Formats: sequence, structure tokens, C-alpha cells
Amino acid sequence: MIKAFSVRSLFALIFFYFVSLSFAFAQKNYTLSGVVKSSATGETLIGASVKIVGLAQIGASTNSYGFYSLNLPEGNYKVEVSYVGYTTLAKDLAIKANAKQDFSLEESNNLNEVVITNVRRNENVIKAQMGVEKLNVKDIQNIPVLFGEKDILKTLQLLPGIKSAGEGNSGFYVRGGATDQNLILLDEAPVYNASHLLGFFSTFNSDAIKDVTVYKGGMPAQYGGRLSSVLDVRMNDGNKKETTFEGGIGLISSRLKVEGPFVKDKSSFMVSGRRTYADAFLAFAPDTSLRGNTLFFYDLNAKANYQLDEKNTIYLSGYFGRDKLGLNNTFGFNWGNATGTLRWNHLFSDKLFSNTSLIMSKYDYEIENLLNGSEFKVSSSIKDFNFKQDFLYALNNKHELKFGFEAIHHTIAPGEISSPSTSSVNEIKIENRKGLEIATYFSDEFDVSDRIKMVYGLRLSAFSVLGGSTYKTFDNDGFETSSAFYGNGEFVKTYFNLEPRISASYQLDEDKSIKASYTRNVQNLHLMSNSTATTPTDLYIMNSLNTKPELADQFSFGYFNNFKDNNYEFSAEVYYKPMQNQIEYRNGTDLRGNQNVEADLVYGKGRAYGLELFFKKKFGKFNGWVGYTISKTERQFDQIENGNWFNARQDRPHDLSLVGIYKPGKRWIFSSTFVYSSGNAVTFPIGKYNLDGKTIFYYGERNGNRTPASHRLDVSATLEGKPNRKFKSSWNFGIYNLYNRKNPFSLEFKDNPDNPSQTQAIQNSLFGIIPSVTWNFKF
Amino acid sequence: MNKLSIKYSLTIIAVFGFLFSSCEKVVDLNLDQTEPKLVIEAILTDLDVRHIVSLSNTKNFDEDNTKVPVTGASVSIKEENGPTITYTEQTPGNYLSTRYKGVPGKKYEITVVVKGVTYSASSVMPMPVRIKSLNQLDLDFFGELNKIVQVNYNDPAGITNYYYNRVFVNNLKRDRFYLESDRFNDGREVKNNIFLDDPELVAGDKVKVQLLTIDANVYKYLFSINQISGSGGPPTTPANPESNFNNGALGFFSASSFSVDSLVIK
Repeated sequence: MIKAFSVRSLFALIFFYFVSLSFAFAQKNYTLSGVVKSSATGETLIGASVKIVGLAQIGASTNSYGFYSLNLPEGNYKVEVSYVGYTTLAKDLAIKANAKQDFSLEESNNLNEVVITNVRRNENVIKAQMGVEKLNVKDIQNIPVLFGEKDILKTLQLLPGIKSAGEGNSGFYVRGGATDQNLILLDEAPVYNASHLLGFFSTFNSDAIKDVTVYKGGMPAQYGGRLSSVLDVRMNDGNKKETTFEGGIGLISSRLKVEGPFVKDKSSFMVSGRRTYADAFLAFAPDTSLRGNTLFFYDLNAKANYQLDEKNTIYLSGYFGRDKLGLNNTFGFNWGNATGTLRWNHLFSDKLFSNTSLIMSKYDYEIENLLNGSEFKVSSSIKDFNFKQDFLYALNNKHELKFGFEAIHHTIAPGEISSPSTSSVNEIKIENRKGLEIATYFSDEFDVSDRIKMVYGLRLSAFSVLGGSTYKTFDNDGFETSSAFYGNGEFVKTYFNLEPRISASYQLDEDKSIKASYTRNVQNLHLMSNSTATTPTDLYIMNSLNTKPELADQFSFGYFNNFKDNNYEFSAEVYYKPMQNQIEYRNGTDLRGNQNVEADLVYGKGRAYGLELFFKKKFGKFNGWVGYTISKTERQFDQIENGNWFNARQDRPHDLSLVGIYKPGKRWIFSSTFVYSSGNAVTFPIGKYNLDGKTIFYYGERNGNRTPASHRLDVSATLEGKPNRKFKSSWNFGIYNLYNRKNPFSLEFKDNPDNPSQTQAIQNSLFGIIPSVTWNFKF
Repeated sequence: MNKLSIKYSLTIIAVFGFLFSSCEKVVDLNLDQTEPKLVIEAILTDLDVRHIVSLSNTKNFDEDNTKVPVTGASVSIKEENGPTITYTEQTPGNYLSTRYKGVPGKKYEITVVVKGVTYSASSVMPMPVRIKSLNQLDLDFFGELNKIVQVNYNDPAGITNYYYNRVFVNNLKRDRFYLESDRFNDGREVKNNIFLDDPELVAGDKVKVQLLTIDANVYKYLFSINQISGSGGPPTTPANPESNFNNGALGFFSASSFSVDSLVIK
């Protein structure tokens, strides 16, 4: 271990590093800084480009809070500010001293740009960062989705390298990673279960979302804690100019959003809610016994901000969502996330931007059995408290430094059963687990030369297993070898990890570049799901004496090429990702109320590799993209399949997606998506036998078979209301699975019900052709 | 205890399925084949009867479900510090003991020799637990009235118990393994809910429940099978469960206490 490498020495190193840099590069330069906003709403714009006309090497993008900072020698400049969906603004500025300049951009009315877009027209070619995609949330409404329910997680699955975990499912696999290896952040707070209703909907109500960025590789050093990807979702701050109402009525749910200023241009709020009404229909059921049942979910996003002065802004945001299912007098089941983030943006100087965050996140579920005589209630939760300090230092035109630290305290309550004394069920409480995750990071976005750019950084993370419960160790066969109680506040064990991150680009010419990156990621929390579907009761465990941090090293290499004045974009990326300390269950593990889950775990390796091709037409009346991925994902455990490598559950060799958006005039938008993917890796029986009257199957090689391939065509049409009215409305019509393809959701092997002396394979399909209609309004 | 949640999840899928045209169809998958493997079914109880051991071979998926009996084997069970009971083949593949009463707390070792290969397993007969009574309970699932049967018994406190309920409706054995453990109700008066579907119970049905106590290995074996077939929660990645027999034989040997009760559904 690298114990000698203490946090303090890392800080010292960072400090000396950039102090020496600032001396080395000290020139007679002035700083131009400020915030880029939308002129209509005052909402800050994330990732807007600020550049100096004629000086290609000088430019900056706004950070997550809309802030930018540039270094310029004295002189007169033309500054160009651009952001997708907004009219580019040019302004002449004379720089004679450090200056603050905010920009307000006008929304452009004809959005002829594609949904997934890059800010600068050739940013994809010149930037060092690779494996990143940004979603413009305003436009995802044009892409057809199941039930017409806009969903950022499903739209993301149309990108190469990001695969759906199942039809209609909001869970996703990135570059061979499992669903729990994605770090999903909502205003910096981790969301532990990002889905509703068995995964058919995501917890993100797109009305409340401003910006979505996903990193498949080359994760910047400020992110850590998951192996495969980072999904950074930011909520709207709220309209600073006027109060507006926005909403929609759809097949599955209705939505309403209110936003407006507390104090004009200084402070605003946003509240957005969504609720499904499957159970609303139940209330009208002719059968009265149906009426006592519940089946719904809701989401509530709220955010407020206050600009104290030019240098200080406070943000408070929260999310609450819950699924509720209930059978009258029999059974109740509810689960949900709650997150809260309090942030303070502070400008120490024109060059040094600071953000301090206090974050809490909680996921819990509760199952209630109301059956007479066996009443019980099961509850389980995971709770985080997080302190985070981030700095952005725009050192000079060549270096933009980011550094900071965070500390997260995790508490997992794996399960507690409570019951009335009349019940036959005993009360049980499984000990809470506690852990402390501390990380410090440093990164530098360094423009080495006109052609070479790089982002490099280092993250040092430490995970401490905390006392307050009994920790056991188990041997390879799952037999207990030791057991000891650790008191509150005791450190049971600490794991240190260094996570280097580097991504570099070499520009071949104006519109071609090659890039390479290496990233190490560490994961300290692990989702235990022994089923082939995600369920709300899936259990999180932390590192312990047996379970070590999961590690992944990702090597990737890419070629980027734009054509025809950046109207067309092509990229090819290959990756290779070995993974260590992966976790699986032994056969027959029962997770329910299991005090010693770890006895049933086995540890092994994984590897994933693939090629992703992406071709996109970015502008014009007709735009869209084609994404194709060929990949392989395998795992190896000494105790499984005799130690041979086998296909991981998420292994799927081919994935193809086509997205087309056509906007012929001012009011209609037509769009269509086509997806094709190879079948899932599954295990088929190779024989059968009868045991005590039941047909049992004898299985072959683990995940050695495939379900039939899936493909589907979805279409949608959006009719915008007449422009230039205060009350705006639009209709969205969609058809999911246009040619009614019966895609396999699951395969089942069972006795033929019509002829029990025979067995048969049954393919279940979930969704046939499904039309949808949604009406949206805004005033 | 999770049966309700499973039932519930299935209901949600069914609701979705009903609303949004889900469907199932029979598919031909061209499954691979394997060499026949030996399957041993052996239950020894504390009843004073002739006990049975049944030997068969695995078949290919597309063949019919009739058993392929394994004949000409030698089968015997040895009681810990006690006699060895020899089984004789009565009908092809079915081997019967002489009348004998298993003793709770004793360890039994079975030996099966087929074509010169010896397969063995052992099982300790748990302390007996008897059914006190059966009763009927009517439950409402989204307007559909389900008749379920509750099995009442007293779980012995302080020791781990596992149960296998063999359920018969109108004298036909249901093919599900109704398993229970006392993890959540050690030492309590247990009301175990038996959900019967496909087909559901109707008035006039005669339900018979045999309660067998089983040891941890047998429980785990049967539980694994339930998990794979989806009757113990959402289906897991299938794998072949670990039998208590050695040498690659499938099936299980269980020394079990036995009790039985029945009721007529109203």
C-alpha cells in the first residue's frame, strides 16, 4: 500500500506544482471572467464556449455554474460566445485591466442542430477529453421513447458504448460495466437507484434537468467511486426573469413545473413534479376490490439560488421520488431516493473559482406484510453525507487547474424486520455498516502546443471501513475464519488507491485528430443483485475485510474526423478495460435477511474491449447519427465454471442505433430511431430430469448462449403551437415498435401446459406496438 | 416471506402486459445435448414403512418427460452406529427398503453403485416438527380472489430448521418445492402461506400437505432450483445446483421427519 503517500504530502505537491507553474508562466496578462446566461430566463449555461476571434488557442468553456475565465495580454479583442440552441454573440472588448464580463445569449428559434452536440463546431476534434458525450435536454423531446415519456437515460442508450440493460429499461451498461458501475450524480448527489417501476422509467424528470454529461472513459479526476462511467446531471436553476408554468399530460404521467425569480436577476426557484396515474384508473374500476390498490410513482425536484453579491452565490437543490405499490390489507412496498445539495460558489479572484458543497443522499425501501398472523415490515437503507470542496484555477492560457477534496460518510442499514408481538415473525436487525471515503484530486487541462492538448490528473482515494459492527473473514469456500466486533469510531481497515487519469489529443490537421487516454477507477460500494433483473431490493455492500475495492484500468484510443466544414462528424474509439476484484454470488445464495452475505461472495476478474463507431450529421433540416459498437465482456472466477472465462451478463457483441430528425418547417418535427442488438448472454439447458415430480433442467456453459437478436423502429412527430404567443403548447405523437417486433425479454423453459409430458422454450416479449400522445404547455 | 413481493412483481408485469400487449411464443432454440447423467432421489423418513430410492438418467430437452430408469444398481443406507438397510429393485429404477423407521438426530449414509461407480451422500435427520393444522385464507390480488392454504406448526426454538412442504391437490403432487426456513420465525407458531396457482384452488379441492424437515444441504439444493426457476424471486443466472451426492450425480438424499394433514377448500 501507499500509506506513505499521505493526503498532506499530496496537497504539498499540488501546491508547489502550481506555484511553480505560475512563476514559470507569469506574464503581463489580464483576466477576463464572468458568467454566460440565457437572456430569456437568466439560467446559467454549462459548457458554453467563450473564444477570441483570430486567436484560436485562447478560449474557455463555462463550468457547471456558467463561469469562465480567460487570460489575455492587453489589447482590443472580439469575443465570441456560443452555445447550442442559442444565437452566437460577438462583442468587442478593450482589455486594459482585469475585467468582469457576463454574457446573455438569445435563444435561437430554429433549432436545426442535433440533440447531442458539441459546443464548438470542431470541439470534438481538438479537445483532449475523449469518451464524453453531452445531451441537450431541451431537444430530447423530439426523440421517440416508450409511452412518450421523455427519458434522458433511454436517449443515452442510443449512443455507441452505452447499452440498454433490457427493453424499455432505464438501466444501462457502459463499455462492459454493470449497471452499478455507473456513477449517477444529480446536482453532485449520488443517486443509488435511478429507476422507477422495475426500471421502465428513470428517476430523471427531464423538465427539471438542464444539462447531462456522460463520461465513458477518461473520467476527469474530480469524479471517482465507480468503475465504468460518470453521468453528471444538473438541474435547472430557475427562471430569473419571470415566473413561468410548464407542464404536460401524457399516457403514463403528468408533469408540472413552476419557476421564477424571488428577486429579479438575483435569485430564483424551480419546482417540478411528475406523477404517474396507472392507479388512477383503478379508482374507476367496476370491481370495488380493485380500488384499494395503489401503484404509482412520483418525482419532485426543487431548487433555489441566491446571488449574495458578485462573488458569492448559494444554491439549494433537492430531489424526492418514491414508488408505491400496495394491495389492500395484504401487502405494501415502497422505495425511493432523496437527495439534497447545498452549494456555495465563491470567487476568490478572477482566476480562482471555488465551489463548496454539502450533499446528502438516501435510498431506502420498505416492505410491509399485513397478512394476519405473519405481519412484518422490512426496511433497508443507504445514506450518505458528503462534503466536497472544488477549486478551478485558470492559471494562464495554457493551464486550467482543478483540484479539491471530498469526504463521504456512508451508512448502510442492510435490513431490519419489525413485527407486532402477535405475529409469527421474529424481529431481526442486521448490523449497520459504516464507511468513510476520502479523496483528493488534482488535474490540469494543458494546451501543450497548437496541435497537442492534454488533460492529466491524479486522484488519491482512501476508503475506511468503520467500526460499530462485527466484521468476519471467510475462506475461499465461504467458511468463517475470524470474527471481531469493532467499536464505534474504530477504523477496521483502510484501502488506499492512486488513480491516474490522462487523456491527450494530437491534431493532425484542422478537422482530424487522434487521441489516447488511460484511466484508473476505483469502486468502494458494490450492488449485490443475484437476479437477472434489477429490483428495488438489490443490496449495496461496502468494502470490508473480505471485499476489496473494485479496480478498472481503461486504455482507449480514438480517431476523430469532421467533414464538410464540420457539418459531419466521425469518430472511432477502441478501448480495453481489465477489471479486478469483481464480485459474484455462489449458487443458491439467499439474500433475504442474510447476516453473512459475504460468506456467499466470490471474487474474480473481468475484461472488456470493443470498438465504437459514430457518424453524425450535426446541422441542417435533416440531421441525426449512426452509432455502432462491437464489444466483448468477460469474467473469470476460480469458483465458477472451473475457473474459465465466461461471458458477462452484459456481453452483447453488436449494437447499432440510427437516429434521424427532420424539421421541414417551423412547426413540425419528425424523428425516428432504429436499434439493433445481438441477443443477451444467457445459459440454456442441455438436458433435463425429473425430481420429486418436477422437471429440472441441466444447464450448459454459463452465459454461453444467446437470446434471439432484438431490433425495433420507433417514430414520433411533434407539432409546435403557433409561435409568438404567451401560451405555448405542443403535441407529441409517437409510435413505439412500429412494425410490432416481438423482441425477447426473457426465455423460459418449462413443461408444455397442453402436454405436460413435453418441455418447451417460451420467449416472453414485453412491448408490442405502442402508440402514445403527449400534450405539453408553457405560459 | 418474499413470495408476496414476487407475486406482486408478477402482477405489475401482468398489468403492464395486459395494457401493452405483451406476449409469449414458443421458440425453437436448437439446444445442445449432453451425456446422460445419473439422478438419485432418496428420502428416508421417521415413518415405519418401506422407503424408496429412485434412479434415473437425464434426457435431452426435446425428448418427453418420462423417466429413463436406471436398473441393476445396488442401493443401501447405513445408519450411524446402526444397521445397514439394503434396497431391492421393485420396478425398473425404483428400489425399496425393508420396513424401517428412521431416527431423528441420526446420520444416514447412502451408497449407490451403478455400473461399478459408487455414489454416496449423507444426511442427518432433523428433530421432528409436526403440522398442527391447515387452514384456508382468501386473498385479494387486484380483484382476483386467491385461495391459499396456511400450514400451522411450532418451530423449535434455538436450532435452525428447514422445511419442505410437499403439496398435493386432489392427490396430484404440485411440482413446486415449497421451502421454508426459520430464519425469520425461530421458535414461533408458524403460519406458512402456500400459494397455489396454475391452476388456482377452487371450492371442493382436497389439499394435502406433507411437512418434511430437511437438513441445510438439501434445503440449499432445492432452494437453488427454486431460484433458477423463478419461484424464489426474480430468476437468477441458472447454474446446476450442488447435490449432496459425490461423483457428479444429480438429485439429493434427505433424511426427514414426516407429518401430514389435509383439508377441503370451501
